[in-house]
Amino acid sequence: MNTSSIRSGFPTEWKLIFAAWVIAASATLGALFFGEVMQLPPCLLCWYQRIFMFPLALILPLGLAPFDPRIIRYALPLAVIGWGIAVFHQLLVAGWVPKDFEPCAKGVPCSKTVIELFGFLTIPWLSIAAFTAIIVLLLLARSRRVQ
Amino acid sequence: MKQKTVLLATAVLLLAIFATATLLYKRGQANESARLATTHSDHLIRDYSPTLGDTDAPVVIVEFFDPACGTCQAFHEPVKHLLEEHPGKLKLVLRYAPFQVGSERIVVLLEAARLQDKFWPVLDALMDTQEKWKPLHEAELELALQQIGGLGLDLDRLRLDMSDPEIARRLQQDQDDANRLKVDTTPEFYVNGQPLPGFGFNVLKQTVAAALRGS
Repeated sequence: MNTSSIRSGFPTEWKLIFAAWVIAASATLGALFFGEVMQLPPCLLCWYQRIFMFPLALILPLGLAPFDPRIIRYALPLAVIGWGIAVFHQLLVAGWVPKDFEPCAKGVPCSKTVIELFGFLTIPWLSIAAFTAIIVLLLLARSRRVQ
Repeated sequence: MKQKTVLLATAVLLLAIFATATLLYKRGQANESARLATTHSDHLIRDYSPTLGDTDAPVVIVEFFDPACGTCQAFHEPVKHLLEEHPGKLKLVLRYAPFQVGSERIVVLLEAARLQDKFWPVLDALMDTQEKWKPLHEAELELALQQIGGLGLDLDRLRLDMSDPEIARRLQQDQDDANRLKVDTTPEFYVNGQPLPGFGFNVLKQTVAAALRGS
């Protein structure tokens, strides 16, 4: 193991990854709030987004103490795939994806809007925003590291 | 400050926010269902609903239930015992909220049995054998009919009565009332017109005890 990559203190990369973790943890708790407290059953696509968001809330802090920047490499694929599913979900809601592709036959249809905050903020948009922010922060951390 | 300390503090903060939001949301919901029960009290009890216990009892328990719901089954015997413990003091009014797959047909079966004055024996038998007529978590009418053989029912008449439009009308009315009162899980209890402050048999028991003391 390359111990030189493990550092103490709070370098900028650490702060960037920390911010990504705060977003992932908030998104995880937010999803649990919608599902378990407000009892809104998650649709199929929501479940797939959860599959890629929940692990981020756990593995990012493991890479932060002790600080191991290789966590960026492990976390990015999760965030990118989750982002892709979130974008697909939003396209479905917006009606850009033909209904035939909609995978939810039974249960909660993914195209149904169950929550709208401030008149425009839906769950798929929140998901896109969270995944985008996580990706940007991780890429920033990576670019600082490469330099 | 150590990295670990910052992480732990943040995690605790986020969880505290989550817990507070949960508490506030639950409280808001409890207030909302209490408000609905007050403003829509006429939706709580219908004169056609099956009842158990004394007609003029001072404490009335309304239960929205689903015959195919496992938790309703778990409450069935304890609630009956509760009524027996307070003879003349309690009345149970049953309302239908068939949320499970296939349970509407079971409700219709119960109502048809009621036309032969066999509602309670049939309900008891169905609660005893719930797992037998609910394979794969879907209620199946034919399997349910097999469980009520020894009760002296006229099964041919029962099947005919199941298409009685009055039964369909009552079922629809119960579902409309459940929607109006925002009943979305079963069993949901109301004691003297107010929802329980929480969930569980002990909460029901305590609320009933308090209502009995007040009556």
